[in-house]
Amino acid sequence: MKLLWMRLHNFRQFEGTTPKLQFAQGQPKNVTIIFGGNGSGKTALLNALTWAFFGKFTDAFALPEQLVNRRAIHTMDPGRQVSAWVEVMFEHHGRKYHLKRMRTVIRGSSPSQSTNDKDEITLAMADTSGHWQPVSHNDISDRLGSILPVQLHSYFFFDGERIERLQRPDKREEITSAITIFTGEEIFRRSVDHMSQVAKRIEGELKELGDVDLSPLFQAKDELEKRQRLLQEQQAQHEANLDGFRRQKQAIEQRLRDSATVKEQQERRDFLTEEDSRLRQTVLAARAKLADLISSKGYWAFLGNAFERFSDIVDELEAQGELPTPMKAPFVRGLLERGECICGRPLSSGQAPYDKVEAWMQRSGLSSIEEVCIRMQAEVDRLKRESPRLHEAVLQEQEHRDLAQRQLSRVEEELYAIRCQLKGSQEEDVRSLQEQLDAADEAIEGIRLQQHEDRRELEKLRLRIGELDRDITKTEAKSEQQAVALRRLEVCRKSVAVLEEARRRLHVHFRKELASRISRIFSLISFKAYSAVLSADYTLSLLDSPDGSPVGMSSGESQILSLAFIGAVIENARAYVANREGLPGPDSSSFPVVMDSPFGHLDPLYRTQICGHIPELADQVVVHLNRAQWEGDVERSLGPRIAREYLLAYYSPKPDAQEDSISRFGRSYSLVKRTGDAFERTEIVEVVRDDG
Amino acid sequence: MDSKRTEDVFKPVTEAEPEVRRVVARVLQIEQEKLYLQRPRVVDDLLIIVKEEVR
Repeated sequence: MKLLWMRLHNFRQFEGTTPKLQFAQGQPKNVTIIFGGNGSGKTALLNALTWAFFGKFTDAFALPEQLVNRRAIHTMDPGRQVSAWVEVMFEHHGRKYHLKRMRTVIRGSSPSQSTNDKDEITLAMADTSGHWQPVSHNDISDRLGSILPVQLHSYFFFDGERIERLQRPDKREEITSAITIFTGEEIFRRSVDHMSQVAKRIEGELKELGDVDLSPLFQAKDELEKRQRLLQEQQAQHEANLDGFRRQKQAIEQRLRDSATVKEQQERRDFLTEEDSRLRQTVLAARAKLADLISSKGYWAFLGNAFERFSDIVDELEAQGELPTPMKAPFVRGLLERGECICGRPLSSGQAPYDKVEAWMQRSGLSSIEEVCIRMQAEVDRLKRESPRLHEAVLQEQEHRDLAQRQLSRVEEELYAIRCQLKGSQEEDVRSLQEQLDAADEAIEGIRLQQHEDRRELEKLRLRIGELDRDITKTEAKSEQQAVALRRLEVCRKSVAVLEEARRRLHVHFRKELASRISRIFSLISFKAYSAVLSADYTLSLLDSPDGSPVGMSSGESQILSLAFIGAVIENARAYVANREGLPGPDSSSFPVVMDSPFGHLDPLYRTQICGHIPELADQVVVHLNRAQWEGDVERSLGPRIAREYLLAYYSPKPDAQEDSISRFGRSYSLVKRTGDAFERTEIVEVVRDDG
Repeated sequence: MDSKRTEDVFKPVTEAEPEVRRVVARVLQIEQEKLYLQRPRVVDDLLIIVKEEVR
């Protein structure tokens, strides 16, 4: 990021609109100097920048709520508004940005009762073709934060007289946070935190999937299939047993046929058995026919007067002329053939009356309605004729069935009687054969019953196995989801571990390098044999070099150490960006540094030492100085690096104020002048340099 | 930071299995883009990355 220019309007003592304050850019002349006496507005200029960018102020900036120029408020009528604003033009990644922040106040009945109305900020960005586009209001602080993180503002815009405050314990957290942003460590820290949250989400998804153990389902299916196989084997066994008993029966019956005494009874029984079978078939067929009759024609019994209703409707429609009469087409054809209309007019082909009558034949719509009507009528007539026969047909089938059933009963009775005769036979052999026959019949009946039970169970098993198969398919799908979720969780956890380790390494390396840079810069500036040490939490301390014992820091040493720290942080960031090779972190190594009185209360020797290093601290350096801080070695040391100079000309309301001036490049510039009225003000004056 | 040290910092990433490497690279990219936000809401985006990389 590079500052191009800034301009103020009614900001504190800068009354009206100031000229543009252009900042030095490029090497080696990257320094802008702003001279001003005490109270002339050097700190106000620094705070104009921090306010414009971040809405923040440095600790030394008194009464930050009073930004608007006092004279501007005094000259305004009560109830009227007056504004102060700061605008800054800067460049980042080859694009120009225009930033403006404005504070508006409403004057009360007296100037001291004025109230702050609102602060407004606007940011516009020039695209590559040079057209300006506004940045959405909601995105401004994010956009500015991406260019210069707010946590780092006290490193780029700092008050030299209070620089040692950066080392205070209450600033440590802020410093650590700022440094982690510089190094990219913050990116790793956030990645670890956010990926841990992702892992938690995936754990939640796994919990929602629930138990996806397939084994109980497979076990249940195995057991059902085992039972299924057993029953199927039993079915085969039943068939074999039935076959055996049937053969046994045939053999017994043959022996009875062969017996001289019961031959006749057995032959009668053979006949009756066949008859029994035939009659059973007859009963079954009659029942089936009855069922068919009732299901296909049963509704006939409930038609009631539907036929009459149909005829009434048709008649009514015909009477209203909404239906052509069924005889229309043949009737018209007859008239045409006869050659005479019903009114007696002769009908000859080619004449108008003939064509008129013939037109009735051409009306196809009517003829199709006629056709439907005729078909419906025919169907109704058929039903009318046949419906009384339904009752007759049902009765006939019932009689047929009942007759067969009666015959069957008689056959059964006779068969029973034969069985009793044979069972009570005097001949033991016959008796025994009948008993064997009865036993075989009983066994056959038992097997058939069992077959029936087994078939029912097999059907139930088939359905249950089908259900289990569907459950297994569903659970397998869930199981696949579970496997993927588990793999995702594993990748998440491994990613967290990898990111955590990379963060740790980055932290160790960066701190080592930062410590070595601070130590080097400090030893370049300080002429004491102390070494600077940076602790793990970025606390700075000084050690006496010979024995390594801690040294109590003077405020001057603390200031030097803080400057060394800022210089080292920026140097480290530059080195980091130059060698990042894919590591995440800030993508710019170009930073401006604006220093208000960077020498604080240091003595001239230290000032000269620091001056030699200030231009190297950053790509762009802006230094605010008073006359005493400037003259002498500082002027000589910093002079060759300066591209632009400005003076803050202070106009004092004090009638006896001591006027002061400074000479630059052969010209005299006022530093303090009397205003002649009650308000102080400061003007920004550019120094005309020999090289400018 | 010199390239040897960069290599050392990235070693846990480069030595990770391919899926982890791809996820980490994309996660770092998203976090980098949102670095300027104080509290970036990126968890949903990161979950999508994990789901895309591990199917």
